[in-house]
Amino acid sequence: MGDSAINSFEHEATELLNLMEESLLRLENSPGDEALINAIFRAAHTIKGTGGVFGFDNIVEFTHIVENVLDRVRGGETQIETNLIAVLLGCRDHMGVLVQLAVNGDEELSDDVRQEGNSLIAQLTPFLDPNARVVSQDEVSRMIAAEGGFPIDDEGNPVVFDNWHISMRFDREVLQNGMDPLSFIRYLRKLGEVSVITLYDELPSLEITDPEHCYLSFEVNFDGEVEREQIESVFDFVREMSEIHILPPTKKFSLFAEMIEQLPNEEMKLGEILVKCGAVTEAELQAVLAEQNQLNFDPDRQARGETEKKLGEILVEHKVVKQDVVDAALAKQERIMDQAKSANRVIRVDATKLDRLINLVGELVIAGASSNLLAHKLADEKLLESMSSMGRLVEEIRDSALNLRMVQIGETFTRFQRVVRDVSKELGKNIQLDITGADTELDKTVVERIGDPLMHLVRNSMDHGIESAAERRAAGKPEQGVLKLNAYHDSGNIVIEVIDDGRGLSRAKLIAKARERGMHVDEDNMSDNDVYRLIFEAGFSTAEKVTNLSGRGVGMDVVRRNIEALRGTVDVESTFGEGTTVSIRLPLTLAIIDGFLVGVGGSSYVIPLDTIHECIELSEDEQKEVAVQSYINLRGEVLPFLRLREFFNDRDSEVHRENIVVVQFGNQKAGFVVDELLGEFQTVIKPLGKILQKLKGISGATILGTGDVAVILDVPNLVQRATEMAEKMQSQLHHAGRSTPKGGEAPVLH
Amino acid sequence: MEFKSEINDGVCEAVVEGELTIYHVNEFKKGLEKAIKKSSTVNLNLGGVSEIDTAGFQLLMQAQTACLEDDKEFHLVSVSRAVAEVMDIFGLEMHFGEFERVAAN
Repeated sequence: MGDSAINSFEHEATELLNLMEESLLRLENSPGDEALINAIFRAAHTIKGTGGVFGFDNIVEFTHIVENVLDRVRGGETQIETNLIAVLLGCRDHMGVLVQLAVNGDEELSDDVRQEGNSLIAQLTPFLDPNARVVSQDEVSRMIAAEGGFPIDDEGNPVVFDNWHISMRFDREVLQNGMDPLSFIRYLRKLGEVSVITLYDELPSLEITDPEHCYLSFEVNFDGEVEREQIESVFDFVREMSEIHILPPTKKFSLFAEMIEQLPNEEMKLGEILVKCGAVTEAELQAVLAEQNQLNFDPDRQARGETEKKLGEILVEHKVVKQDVVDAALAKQERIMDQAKSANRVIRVDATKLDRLINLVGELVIAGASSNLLAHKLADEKLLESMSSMGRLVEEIRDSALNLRMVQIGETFTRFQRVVRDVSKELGKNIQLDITGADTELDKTVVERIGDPLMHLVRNSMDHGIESAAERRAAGKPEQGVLKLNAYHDSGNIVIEVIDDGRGLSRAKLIAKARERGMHVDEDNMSDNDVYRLIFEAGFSTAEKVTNLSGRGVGMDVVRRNIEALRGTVDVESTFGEGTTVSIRLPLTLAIIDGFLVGVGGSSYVIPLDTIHECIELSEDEQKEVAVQSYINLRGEVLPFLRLREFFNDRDSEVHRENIVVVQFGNQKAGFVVDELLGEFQTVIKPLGKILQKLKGISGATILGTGDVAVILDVPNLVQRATEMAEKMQSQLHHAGRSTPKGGEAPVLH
Repeated sequence: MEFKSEINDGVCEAVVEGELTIYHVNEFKKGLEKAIKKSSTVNLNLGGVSEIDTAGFQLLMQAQTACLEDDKEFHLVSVSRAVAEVMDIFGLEMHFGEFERVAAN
């Protein structure tokens, strides 16, 4: 079997194992949910089945026992309890290990793995039949063989029927029709080895017999390298009137199952699958379908309220195929459908291809805009018309292309269900995970790289933040600690929060620890938040005991560095005794933002639209007023502002009219004084070159339709500057009386 | 087909020759019935059967059964190659006990 088949097995098994894990975790909270139980059972069943097709005996044998337990759960004979879920989770992990080993071609299990398997089986055993004993792997092999209906010999190997079995029940009048069963058997003898058992129990007595009727039936064991069709063709002329059943050799069953696996993944009807793998011939299928129709439209049957006969049932009843083959085909069918469904939902694409596409789309947008300008210059009506419809298409392409990279953070969050569950068990704490904002979208690369820092934060919160049940009781808190993962969009950023309701950070302890570490701590001039931020310093850990989870002081500074590498920030807020919130703020400096284009002098700037609070036109009086100070009175509020013209050192152009764009970041507001409001503008962000990346105040650039470059403002940074400047100015004014502030900060962009 | 039978002291010596096929089974059946009715032992000589089919073979089995049910004896004295072949095909070589096989028709 090819590598690609094994790859797809691995892929499928991994998906099923994930599904199994997720369902088990959900089952823990709703133990009666049959849909979940069935999902888990099906996952295990399918892994066992496909594992079997590849001959991965280790997987089959282990999963078989898991499946037995699940089957009992499904049948209501075994109740779902926390213990069982824990064991099943362990089994799921072990299955993952087995799958990995099998895929790597390691057939021999190491002692550790074997021991783990046996220990899990021992733990599962109480959930099996109450009378059941602990079974060893070897015994399991026997059970499997027995269950499959194959007799097993003394050594435990299944006895295999190697030959075709043909059962012939001829129509009474076959002889009168000029055909003789003898001739069929004679013909078969030409194709291979034949041994016949003649059944004559229907022979009537000599007196009453009609000698021209055929009363004999035959069971034929046929050994020949033939296809089913070939055997069937022997009976072409009698099939209509007689019952001829052709059962393939046992070894063919596994062959069929294998062939079913290898069939292309197209949606097929059960009959088609069986015909394609050769288990059933077209003619048999047609006959059975006809019978099915007849049965299901039989008014008597309907009157008796009998359910519709399924094709598989009839085929098995008529001994055309064995149940196993039908099962394999049904499983295949189901899988194809599932795949078709999930294929509709998800497609995997190399991220670099996406990046390339998005870059190209960006270029396309720019090229389109300049073609549009040219078309306007030429003023050719037809050209303009075609440009406008092309422009619309380009816009749509751009939007969809940019959307491709966005994924929901939910999947990342749900992974923590298992972590929280396992870690809280390990720590002996009772912790519940609440997830909100799972549908918040962010860039795929960010999602991928946020996993590790989040893991550190979550473990940290559980280990150091949330107290033991006893401590919580003593503090008058509910025994169950709550850990929250939250995500939301805020002013063009995504904020991810890890919130616990634990003991909170202790200012005194942190300061003491920092001193102990030899850090310079100016206690009086540090705000609480400054103190809390110490936890992100390298080698800083206040945990009294080091656990294997956290407390080694390597976590938090790594977290900070990882997040800063994503151009994000991490912050911590805490109330002693009540809990801690760590917020990660990441820019959506991905490919696109809704921007608001403003003009200052000859330049254009883009302000992310979602940071804009309002726009105000300045009256001439106000213009005079703002010329001498760096804040205005906005409906009774002090609003610091920045003159972009001065900030970006654009002294050449004349000022005609001024507007203030009021932006908000967090709970701070600031105004940007600009000349012109040019309106909304979908902005394709071009990253800045390495040299420009360190510049404060701008977060990127974009190219306008004219080919001009517009700078995208880094609102958080600018708001902070405006606030600082206003404060500085105010204190200057305070000290030095009125003076005219000009410029203020050094320009950052020339 | 030619069916000849002769009964002496309740022992029927019957000889079948030629084709023992569906075209002759009614005739064969009548002959058998008559032979069995009037005797306590039937010795059937099939050494001269050139061809036998399922219909013919069935009758042989039915004749044997009829005899056994009436506590009569039924023997095949001799069997042609054609008959032997069919016995072989049907896996019924031992069904009629011991008999002489005729090498040629």
